[in-house]
Amino acid sequence: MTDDTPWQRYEVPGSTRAVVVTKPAVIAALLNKAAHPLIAAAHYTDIPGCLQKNPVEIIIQIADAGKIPVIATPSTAPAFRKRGFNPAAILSIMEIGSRLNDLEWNIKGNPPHHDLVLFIGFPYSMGWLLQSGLKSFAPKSIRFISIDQRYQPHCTLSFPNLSRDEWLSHLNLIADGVGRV
Amino acid sequence: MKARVTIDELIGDDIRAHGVELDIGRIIRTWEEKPGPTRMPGIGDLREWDHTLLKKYPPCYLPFCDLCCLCTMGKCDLSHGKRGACGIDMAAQQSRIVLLSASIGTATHTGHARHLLEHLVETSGRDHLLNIGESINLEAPNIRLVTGIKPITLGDLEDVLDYCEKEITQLLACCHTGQEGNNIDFESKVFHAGMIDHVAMEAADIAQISSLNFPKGDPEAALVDIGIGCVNPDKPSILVIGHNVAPSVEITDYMRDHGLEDAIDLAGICCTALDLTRYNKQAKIVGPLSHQIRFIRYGGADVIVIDEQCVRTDVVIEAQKVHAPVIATSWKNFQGLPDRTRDPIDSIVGDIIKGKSIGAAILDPVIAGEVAVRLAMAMFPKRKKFRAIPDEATIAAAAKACSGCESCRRVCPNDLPLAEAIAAAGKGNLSLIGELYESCIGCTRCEGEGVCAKGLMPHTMILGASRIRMEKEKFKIRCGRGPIQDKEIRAVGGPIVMGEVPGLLGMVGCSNNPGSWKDMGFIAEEFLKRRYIVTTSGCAAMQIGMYRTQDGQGLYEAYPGTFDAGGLVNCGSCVSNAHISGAAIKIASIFARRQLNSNYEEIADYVHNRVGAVGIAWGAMSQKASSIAAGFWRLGIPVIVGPHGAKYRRMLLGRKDHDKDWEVIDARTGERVYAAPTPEHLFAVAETREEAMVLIPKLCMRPSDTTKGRSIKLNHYIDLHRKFFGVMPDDMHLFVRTTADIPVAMKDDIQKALRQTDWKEGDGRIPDPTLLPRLVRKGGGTR
Repeated sequence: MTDDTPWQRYEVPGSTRAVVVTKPAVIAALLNKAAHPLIAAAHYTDIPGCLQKNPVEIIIQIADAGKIPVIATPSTAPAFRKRGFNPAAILSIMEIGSRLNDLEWNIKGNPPHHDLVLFIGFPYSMGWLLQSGLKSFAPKSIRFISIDQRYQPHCTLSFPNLSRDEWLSHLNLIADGVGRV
Repeated sequence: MKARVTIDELIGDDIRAHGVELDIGRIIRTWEEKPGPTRMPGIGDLREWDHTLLKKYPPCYLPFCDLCCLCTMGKCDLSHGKRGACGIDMAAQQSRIVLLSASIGTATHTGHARHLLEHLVETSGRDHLLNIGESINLEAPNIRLVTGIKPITLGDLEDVLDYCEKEITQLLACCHTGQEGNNIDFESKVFHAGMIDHVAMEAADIAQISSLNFPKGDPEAALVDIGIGCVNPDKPSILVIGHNVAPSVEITDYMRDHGLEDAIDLAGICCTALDLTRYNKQAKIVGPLSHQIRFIRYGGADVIVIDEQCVRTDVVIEAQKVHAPVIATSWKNFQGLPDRTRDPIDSIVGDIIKGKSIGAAILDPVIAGEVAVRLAMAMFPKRKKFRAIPDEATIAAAAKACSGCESCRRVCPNDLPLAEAIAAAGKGNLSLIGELYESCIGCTRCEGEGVCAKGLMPHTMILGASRIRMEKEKFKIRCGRGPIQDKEIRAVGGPIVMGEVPGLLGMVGCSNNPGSWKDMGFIAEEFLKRRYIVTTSGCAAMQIGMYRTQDGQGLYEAYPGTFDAGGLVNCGSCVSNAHISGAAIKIASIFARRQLNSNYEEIADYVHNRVGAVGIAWGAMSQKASSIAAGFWRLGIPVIVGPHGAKYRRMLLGRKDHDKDWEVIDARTGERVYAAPTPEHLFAVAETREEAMVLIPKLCMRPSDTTKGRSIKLNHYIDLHRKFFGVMPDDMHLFVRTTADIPVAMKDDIQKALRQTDWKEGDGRIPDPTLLPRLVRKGGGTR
């Protein structure tokens, strides 16, 4: 059974909650369709000693295939650079929120604003709060999608709570689908 | 100061009266400085300054809840741009909650100050002279700056608190339905609450320093014991918890008067403990507030005396588990105990010893002191340090029942891998669960009713697996020295303003850490080595004490307590935070000779643009922490919090990509000049300890930095960025004004990096920076 309750049980969402995505292909399709997608990665994206493909590598694969810019937080960027990938911008989690709330902002410096943002690797409560803010203050045209291991209720769409293996498998399936229009 | 004048006979041209009595509500003594424009400012008086700061650092909201539940028209959903039944929107609602939090914090410090002051006036007299040290002439920078009062006696502080209480009432009124509707105006009120908070804290601390003879700005204040293991299990012991030191003082006095200093261990948790050690060097500090349940269950206390603030609200339940009686000493915190203040002491003690009562509320500190000591002596042989902590075999046996459902983890604020550790314990490996001891904040949510279907108690297991660690937990902390001396300010004011002392760090706040409590010590050590001035207070000061360097030294033993580069300055308890803001204000007043009296806006403008100070509250939890932070914000001092700090619901973030936001006025010419994002944020959350450590030197940069100063600050920023993130920061070019700013040792690398950006060398003029047009000297500006 899909677990679509907030991972931290007491972080209860409000009147609306994220639609649960159980099929990663849906997210790949949305990325392919988006005009100005963006990926925001925080430090839990990197799993040191991961026996399977590290999520950082999967994100690089997605970014390359979909030509999608990546914002990494300062603590996350080294894991990308180590793999020869330079994030398009380095911003703290809260700075990411502040920029996404601004209709005039785009990672390349000029409008149009992004229309889809993928979140990964966020400490649960920080992700929860950031996305709660975006829900009320960001332009309505943006889709926010959490592809973290834990269900994030304030996004437009979110993975449910997943085991580590399920999560990595879901990420790989997104990577497989991106760029194939 | 208040006065009553009685006139037997009054005869004038138009009046003839007998027996006239005049009550004079407040007499403000004049002092050498004339008052500035804002004596005892009301809520609207500094609005313009607040809006200037808030334009530069607009709020970024992080709603903790989509709903407003404050009135009976609700609940109202404010998400997605909706408005509530009263018309409020999400931004204003978030700011209103921040204001409520800051007002609660300010009220709590003010209430504490009033309670303490009433007691000290009773014991020492209203005319008791304030004396916080011979080398401290500027005794109360916050009070003088805000109220225009130069306090001389304890009685003068009553006037100060009258003002604070009036403002708090008005601030709270602003939170009512149908009052303020604009988020920026709410934020201005938050700043007002913070400013008042620092005034009240200062009043509380200088009152207790003067009356109880605490260290008076002494850099060599005594080193005292901290840690659970410091409390002797072979002696009767009293545990005090909270913030108001009055009962602890009376306990100490009773012990001294009866020759029991060596017979009983007196120990404390939270700020009461810090203030107790300023009075009684033999007393022990158990640890920060996260140590409450672990020490109670450890069985170390034969009697528990609570006062106010940050006391576990289940303290009586926990105390009963180890058969320890509880004495409540404040009407703010009765805990359901019967008020026995007027009963004979023998009867109170007798009833508790016989088990007829689990404790008592005793609102007279003198009586509470005697009862606590007599109870400790009597309970010690009865309790035999009874513990509520299992042994290893019991843990391993119980852990076998764990189904691995992770319910415990899903209620843990730190998302600790409890199920994984319990599963290992079930297989006989207790190391994993023991390792959680330093990351656990001791909230016991994992043991809540119905959390574990099998009835397991994860927090208790952590403690059971950590018994030996607790017994060995012994460190040293320098007891709170109180304020910074004027001569220290004279010595370092210049180097701080010029940037040659790289920064003034205020490490403050609670123990709601996202990781190990040792993180605070780790951060402190790094910046002490880099010769920052590290000031601290409260639970943060304790955590810094509970850390050892690689050489096994404690930081208070390794670094001097002087307010100088590389000094580690423990100011004291929560209320001693006012000495940290006070130090920044003193730099403006003593070093730069800016007018202090009732001149808030100008002093804040000076501090914001010139004093490279940053607050870090890594484990901030309380409403008091929010009001303390707000006081720093109004002075323009940035504050960094840990991940849990995001739950304060909003950040104040600058936009380094908006050049216009970073213009200052050059007071010499009136020209607006670009001064770079210095400091970039006013309130920011760091995702990781390392991120915070890179942010600190960056937020210490100021428009007034000399080239040497900027070079030193850049050196630390770039070096730490390289150390933790492997490369030079991508925004470095924003802070290099001319090649003279470039640290020599990094010259080639930085120049190479600058060539890859659109960096252009500036003209080298360092502005006399201000945000206040009235301070422009050319063309009629005044100072």
